[in-house]
Amino acid sequence: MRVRASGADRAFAIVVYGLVLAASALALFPMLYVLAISFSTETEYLTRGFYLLPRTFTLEGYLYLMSHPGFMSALRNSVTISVVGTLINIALTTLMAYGLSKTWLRGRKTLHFIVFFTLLFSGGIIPTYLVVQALGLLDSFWAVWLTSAVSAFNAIVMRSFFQAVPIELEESARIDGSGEWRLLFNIIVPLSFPAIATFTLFYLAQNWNTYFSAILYLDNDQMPLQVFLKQMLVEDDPSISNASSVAYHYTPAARMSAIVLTALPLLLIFPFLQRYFNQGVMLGAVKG
Amino acid sequence: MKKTALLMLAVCMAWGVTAGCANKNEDRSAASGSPAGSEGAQTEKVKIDMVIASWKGGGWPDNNHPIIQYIDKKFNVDLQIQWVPNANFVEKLNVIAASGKMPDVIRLDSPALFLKWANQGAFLDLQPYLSQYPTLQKIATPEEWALLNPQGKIYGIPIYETAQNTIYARADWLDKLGIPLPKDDEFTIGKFYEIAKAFATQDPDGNGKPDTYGFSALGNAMNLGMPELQAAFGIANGWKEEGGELIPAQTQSKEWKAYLGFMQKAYQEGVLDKDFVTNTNFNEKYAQGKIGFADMHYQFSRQTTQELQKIAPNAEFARLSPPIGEGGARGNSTPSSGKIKVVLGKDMDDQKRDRILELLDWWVSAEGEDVLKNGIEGVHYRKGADGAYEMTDALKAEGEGRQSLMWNWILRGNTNTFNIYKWSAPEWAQGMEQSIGDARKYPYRNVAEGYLPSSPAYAEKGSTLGDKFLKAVVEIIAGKKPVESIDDAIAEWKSGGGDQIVQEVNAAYKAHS
Amino acid sequence: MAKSYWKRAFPVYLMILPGLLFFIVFKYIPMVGISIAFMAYSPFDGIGGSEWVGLRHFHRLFAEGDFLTLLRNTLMLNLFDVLFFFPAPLLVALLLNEIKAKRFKAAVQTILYAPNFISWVVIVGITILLFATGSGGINQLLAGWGFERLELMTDPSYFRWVWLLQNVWQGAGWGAIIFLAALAAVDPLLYEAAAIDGANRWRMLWHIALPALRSVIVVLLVLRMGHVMDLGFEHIFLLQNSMNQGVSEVFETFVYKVGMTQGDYSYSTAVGLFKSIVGLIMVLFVNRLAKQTGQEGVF
Repeated sequence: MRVRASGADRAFAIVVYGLVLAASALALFPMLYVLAISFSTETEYLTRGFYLLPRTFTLEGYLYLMSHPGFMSALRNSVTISVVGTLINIALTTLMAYGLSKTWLRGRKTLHFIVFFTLLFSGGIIPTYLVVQALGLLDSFWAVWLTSAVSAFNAIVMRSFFQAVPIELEESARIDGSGEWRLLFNIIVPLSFPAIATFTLFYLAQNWNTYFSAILYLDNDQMPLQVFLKQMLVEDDPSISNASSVAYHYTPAARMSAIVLTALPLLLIFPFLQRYFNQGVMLGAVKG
Repeated sequence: MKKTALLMLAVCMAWGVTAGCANKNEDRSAASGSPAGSEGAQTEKVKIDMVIASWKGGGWPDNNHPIIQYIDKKFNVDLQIQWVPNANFVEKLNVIAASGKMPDVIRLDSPALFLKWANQGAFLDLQPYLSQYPTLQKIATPEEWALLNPQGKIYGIPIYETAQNTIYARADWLDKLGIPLPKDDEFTIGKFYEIAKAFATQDPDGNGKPDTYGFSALGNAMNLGMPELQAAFGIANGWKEEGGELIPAQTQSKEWKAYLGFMQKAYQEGVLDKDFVTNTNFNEKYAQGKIGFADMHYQFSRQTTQELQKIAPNAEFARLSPPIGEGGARGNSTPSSGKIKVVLGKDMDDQKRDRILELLDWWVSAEGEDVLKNGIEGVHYRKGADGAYEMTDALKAEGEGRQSLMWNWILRGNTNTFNIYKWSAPEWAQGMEQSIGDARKYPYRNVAEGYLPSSPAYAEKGSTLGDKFLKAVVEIIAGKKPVESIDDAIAEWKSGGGDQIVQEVNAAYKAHS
Repeated sequence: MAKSYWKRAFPVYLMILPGLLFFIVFKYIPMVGISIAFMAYSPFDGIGGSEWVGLRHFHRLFAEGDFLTLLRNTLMLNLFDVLFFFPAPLLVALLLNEIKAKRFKAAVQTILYAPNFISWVVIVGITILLFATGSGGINQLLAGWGFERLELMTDPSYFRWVWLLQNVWQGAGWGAIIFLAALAAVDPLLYEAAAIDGANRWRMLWHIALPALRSVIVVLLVLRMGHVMDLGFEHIFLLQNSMNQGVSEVFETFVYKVGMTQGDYSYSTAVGLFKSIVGLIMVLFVNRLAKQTGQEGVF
């Protein structure tokens, strides 16, 4: 702020930066532990307890995963599920939320309630599975894409974002003779970039975390990363040691590397999307 | 209003359609089964669907695994195994069952679910065919085949289980403290405590810090992960038989008081791991090298010893017999074979049934064991220059044991070397056989295993009642409550539904015997 | 008028249609499955063929000796969550909004949202590593300095706080994203005008940023109320142990133990339906409250 930097503002800034730095340190600290273990030998992990800087160094965990056919195919599956899934999500959600944001639309309240009601009540997995089966979608990514095509939560929140767009914009567009489609794509979407970027990220994360619907609907070779990861992290129940006696042992480095590699893609994507969070400035431009 | 009605209509119609479709699929799969007149001849390829729970590490990524290909070729089948992570197994199985496409082969680890579905007629009765498959029949005793089944029916193939775990001790620590390894007949529970206390207080790892414990325990299991200790105090391994009646451990006031007094003291004196409440397994606990007495099986002890030797070169877990309690009570927890079953879906045609039973008969033969456990020569192992077998690099990279999933996660015979491979050191095979033989000398059984699942009260309340009782046990051990308060927990267990469970379990017991 | 309405409205209905189809096919048709709650459901008989048992499963639920404990534990955890977790992302967003250095802001935001991708197994594992009574790093330090050990993982009085703080740690940065998006829509001219009027940063936050977030906050709060009986299963299950059972047993963990592991779908569906109805009542109540205080509400 070049206008005037008062003492109060400076104090305010110090408080803000202090708090943010403290919060970042707290967030970082356990993650550094995960990172440290991913480069450590098993012996160090077992003997040292909590630490942030490994004394040993090994890439064994990462190399193991990189050469693991299961990991690579899970990664491919996750990317497929996430990219296509998110495109479907964003297209359907944006259209629906925009439609529902029209205050003049008849039946809007009923439609909106139809969406909202699904947040509270659900039929459970068995009937959903039967629907998927009836549509012939089993063992196909479509089952995962379609059963989570729109999140009611995201649609409702996105609608409230669209409702914040000033009504004059719509009025002036209509006077220009633009139809609803042009209005949506030429004015509303560019204006709502922060919202759309946000929900893209939400959907990406949701798709990236696909676990249960993959287990329900997909085949062995279509399993995504989260299934792979969970199977590495799970500890078999000792009371059934007889049942699960394959004494298979993942090193801590391999387990933590899997966590790091699974989280990495979404951490890397964030800075790209973040650019769009600041596009709200355009609003002023349009108005002016 | 009109809209709602319309919607309901649409829903109902669509529902009818879905249900119809599900049935149609069923019909089709049944129809594609057996054309008449191809009896026994392996001319036609048969598709076999298995739905199997997978554990740590998960199943194989696809059904082109060399072992599956081997079986496909040998039996002219198309074997399709669907691995479902154990945590979601029951859900997935229910969903598949609801869809009308019951898989051909399922492994059921839950006796309650087995019983429920067997009662609903979901499984094929194997009784009429079993005698034609002698190898398969031999993997269990008639009692084991009969376990959990109604009279005259056999709805599942029993999975072999055996006593394996016993008490192990850090031999290198005993050495350092100048304590001789206790002999079988002098290893009393008093001796156990004396040594455990020495482990906790005399700095056996020599790091100058009081950071070792005599023994550890698990806070999430009724036997606290150390069943040998409860055995020594005469507490039943779940249930015991006395005078023709089945009696649950939860009512053994006197025994619990003695045991809890022992454990409370151990906790207070730092002999018992202070963190036992949050322990859910021993894997890392033992490998960290802070625990003197361990409850483990042979292979676990070898792996842990290897791991420990990276920290302490002399580390060694030595096998002991279970400690002797008052009146000579001692025991190693002994599970019953047959609690876990491999079942066949009832809707298959004769050809498929025969093919599957033929496959399973081979499966548990010596030849089948060789393939299913060790994998394929040239792919998973090979003969080295010195004539001894060794793992291939590919298997090493994937992990030893990953080739044995079908043997260990689906069905295995009653040999005791289930984790020993062709390339394992010969002393491992010997050690494993011997350790299992020794563990079986001191049977400590839950005699109600075959009857518990038929008690409705147990199904409804058993786990919550058990949790509450365990809570009291743990609180007493950690010194939050006096030992006598176990009587309140016993009273609560009985009045909360325990009495009813006792009655129902005994009724089932008497009906059977 | 009617004709021009349809001309205008038709494309809008068309936009809503694909989403609507999704909800009908994958959400409403399966709702037939709710009837499982009133049946002795068997997967082999199907929804059409299973026996109707009326309200038996609900009677069983309300007659459970622990019903009141379950209700109390569930509501208490949710209360903690709404009171302390719900505002956390808002606070993070407002703080981040005050940071002008772009690179720094991007870095900090990535760090703050990263924990969202660390699974509960790991988070709980690290907490135990640090706070286990005997071997936990923090407790060894405390003991070394002559303090009392903190039985964070086993003393039931800490359970809710541990659960809450782990939630904040994992979710605050991630949850802030949605508020930041709302803040991004604020016209920068407003800030400039306020600055010329001599408003300091604090006043701008109070009079510009917060009002811009009001409608999002209301929507999120109302939606949150619909899940007033839901808590993440996995997180609580991992934190649960024999000692804290009295405060940590909630409907999810209970249903898992008595229903899911045995495939008792009818009972777990009944418990789910009960939770949904409580959620519905809460939503209607809070939505009305919002409307009475002059907010738009969700519907």
